[in-house]
Amino acid sequence: MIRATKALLALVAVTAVAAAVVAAGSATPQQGTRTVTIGWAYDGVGAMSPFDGPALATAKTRIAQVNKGSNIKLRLLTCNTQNNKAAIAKACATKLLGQRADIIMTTCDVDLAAPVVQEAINRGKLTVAACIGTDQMGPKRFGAKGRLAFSFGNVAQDEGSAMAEFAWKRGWRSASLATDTVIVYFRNVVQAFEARWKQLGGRIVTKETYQSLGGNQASWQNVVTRLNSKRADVIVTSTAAAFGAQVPILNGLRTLGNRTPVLNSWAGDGNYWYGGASPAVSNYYYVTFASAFGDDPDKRVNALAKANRAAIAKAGSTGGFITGPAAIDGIMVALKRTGSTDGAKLAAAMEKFKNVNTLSGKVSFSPQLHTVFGRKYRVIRVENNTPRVLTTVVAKRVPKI
Amino acid sequence: MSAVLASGLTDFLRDAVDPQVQADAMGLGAIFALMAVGIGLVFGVLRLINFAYGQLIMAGGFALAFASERGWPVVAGIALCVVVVVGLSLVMERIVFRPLRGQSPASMLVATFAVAFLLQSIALIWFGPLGKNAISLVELNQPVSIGSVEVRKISVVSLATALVALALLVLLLNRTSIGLHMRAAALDFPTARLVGVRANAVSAVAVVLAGLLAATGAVLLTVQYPTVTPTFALRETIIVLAGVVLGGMNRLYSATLGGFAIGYVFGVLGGALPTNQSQYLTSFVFALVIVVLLLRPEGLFTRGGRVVERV
Amino acid sequence: MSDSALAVSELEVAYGAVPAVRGVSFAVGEGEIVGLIGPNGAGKSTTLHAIVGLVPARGGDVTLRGRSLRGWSPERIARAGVALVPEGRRLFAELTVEENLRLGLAARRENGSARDALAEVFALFPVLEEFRRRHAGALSGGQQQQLAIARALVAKPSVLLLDEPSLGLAPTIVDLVFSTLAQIRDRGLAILLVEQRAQRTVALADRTHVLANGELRLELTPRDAGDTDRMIAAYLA
Repeated sequence: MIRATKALLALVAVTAVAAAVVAAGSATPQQGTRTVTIGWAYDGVGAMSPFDGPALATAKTRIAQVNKGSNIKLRLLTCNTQNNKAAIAKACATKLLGQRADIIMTTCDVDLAAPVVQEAINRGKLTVAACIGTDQMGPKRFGAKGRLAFSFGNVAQDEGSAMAEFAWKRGWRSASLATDTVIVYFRNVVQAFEARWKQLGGRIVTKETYQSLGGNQASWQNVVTRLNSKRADVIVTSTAAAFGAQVPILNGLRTLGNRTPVLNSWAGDGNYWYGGASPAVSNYYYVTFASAFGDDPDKRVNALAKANRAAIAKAGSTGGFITGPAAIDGIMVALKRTGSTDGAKLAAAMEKFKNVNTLSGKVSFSPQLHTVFGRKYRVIRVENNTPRVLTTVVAKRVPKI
Repeated sequence: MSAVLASGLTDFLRDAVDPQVQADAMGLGAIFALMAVGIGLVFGVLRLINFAYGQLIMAGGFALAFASERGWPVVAGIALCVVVVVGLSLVMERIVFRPLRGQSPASMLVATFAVAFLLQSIALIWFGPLGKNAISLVELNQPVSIGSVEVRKISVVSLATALVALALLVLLLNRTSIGLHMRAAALDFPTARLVGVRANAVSAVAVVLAGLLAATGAVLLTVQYPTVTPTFALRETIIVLAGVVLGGMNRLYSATLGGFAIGYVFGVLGGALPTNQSQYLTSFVFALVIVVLLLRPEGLFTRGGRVVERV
Repeated sequence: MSDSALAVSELEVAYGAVPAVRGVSFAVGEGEIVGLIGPNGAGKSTTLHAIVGLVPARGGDVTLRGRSLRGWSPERIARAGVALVPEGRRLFAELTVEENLRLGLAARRENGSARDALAEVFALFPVLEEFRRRHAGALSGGQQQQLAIARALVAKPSVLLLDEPSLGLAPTIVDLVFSTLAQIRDRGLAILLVEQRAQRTVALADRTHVLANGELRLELTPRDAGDTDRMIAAYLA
């Protein structure tokens, strides 16, 4: 009798284990549709809303597109962190994870996203930001678990290099640099430009610095005077109009009659600031993810921009909207390649991305670099307050800075 | 080494006396002086440091942007700016300052801080973080020739506006009865009430005058800095506050001089120092403010060595 | 009683839990000087402050010709015609004599010209006219006292309250002040005089109340001015 009971118990145990294996095996590829849930903690009202907002809106459109004719159906859950207040962000992370999100997406600034990233990687989930612009989204900042974190934003070094290559291709040979010191990304862009510029054989005429947000306005005028005093083929800076210095500096130069081309990074995107420019913005160039103005080389991008026109215009008409769909594309590729929602597997697949096609161009990652390099930037030129895509450029080499 | 220092010093001095730099510095000092008067008036009469003063200027900036984006004539834009700023000031006086009359300085400090943050948050939600463009008087950025030098019109206009505004204020304070009432209230509020000075009236007039000055500041600042964001004029307010304390809070003339001085110094140093050094300027100046206050707490431009007295 | 210029009935004032004035009642009629004397801390100043609204009354009432003044702001009471010459004068030392006087005009109820009002007080206190452009802080103690009284008078009040006007003054100035008060009384003003100098007050005033420990003890008339024993008894009671 006891032997029979033992056998029965063993049978039950084996069955239980088998059942568990079968249940766990629901992660293994099967025929038929599977739903994967993405939980996105975004900023709907605050400083990041111009970036998160359009990316999210366009991502939703993209999700509807990719879900058609796909075995894998993406389901999007969102949570508004309301200006990325730490407590609310953490609560959002908990909520989304509790709602069984398989993949977590975050806001576009690594410091502000950190609470959400931490929660997500602690739970072993793939964590993706649409547009964090530094290389910190990954093991560099979050340690071993950071291998689960990725960003589809530009790395500043990649952007600065691409800017140098564009300037060189344009025939410019001498550059004056004006570094906005207010955030690391701005500084890194100009540093990368300088490094690549020298590699290409370009000459640096002068190097000026200023601080936009919270900086001394008298020094902005000083920068204008100094830039104006030395001739250069192009003036290079990385700053955002909303930080207050871009328009006064541009106006200052143009009012002095200085028509030197000004080259900015993606931070200088958008048309929301043209109204403050006097005279009208001209001879102004910048690199961006995509054109929000309907003339992007990729028709699908233009269609997406059109479909989400309101959200994009509200955020100042910058090209950052494409990072949402790009992230969705990347996530889909990873899902298809691994057939799993397991964070570590997805991360390993993403690290191997080489020239993966996304709506924002080819995306590559590496074990060291979890932010995009080798992106095909659009160069937009503004003449008389009218922006137009001029050309595209890819950074062939990204110097160490 | 000393040669490098010497050449650096000569470069700095040469740039510092450049007429453009001087004019800009005086223009900046003039705007800061106007702000200092606004802060000093409210402090003198209500014994209250309005930390939300910068937000009044911000509100004025947004009003100007509102008008500018709709193509309103300049005068209409400025009128809207004045109405918004003065209106907001009166609301603040009625809802926040008046109930706090006679409370501890700590309560008043906390209350105005709270108002400042509230207004910033509201602006962020209403207008978004990208800011709005206010370009009413943008042609003042053009240079004008004075004698043999070229200076920006806005610098001259700022200085002239400040002088006119201050002259009018002095006339008001010294020649009118409401001005007399305000001066008495600033000296000794309870006794002023005893002789019949209406507390609410002088309070309101002080606040309205400060509001008019803030509106003026908004108009002058947006000429050169047309991007109005929720943090517009925040940094300037903090610097002006430092200048007011540095100059001497208790008297209007010393507060105004302090505001002008700190604006002028920032203007000269920012305009003449090599750009990679002028970033440390703000920290350096504030360190200097601390040192000065340790040595002379009643302020630089006050008479005698008395510390603040309250009747 | 209710038609007196100023009537105080059952006035109670406390500072926190500490009562300073308890159930004080008296009246001042037109053309009368009523004195209020008592030892230090008796509550004399507190009574005055309560009348002009500087401190709130916890109980009782203050009426001006029958109209209650309780809960009114100090400036409203001043504009109703009650003027206080505060202890220590409380002049605006940095303003000129003339500016101090013009301030007093803030409470004026009649419309007449400022110049006439000033002329009247200059007639009472000629030295003020001489010093009209000087800063009030540059005046001597006696001149400052005259200025303080003049400032109260320019408003043409119907009730004049004085809080220890003779404090720190030379005897000749005290004479001047007291005789001026008599003059003003004869013009129909109701005057409440709080003083430390018991004897002179009792001699001058039509009636003098003694306040000790927040309560009225005794009423004295000019006849009692010479009676030293009665005075001491009043204080020590």
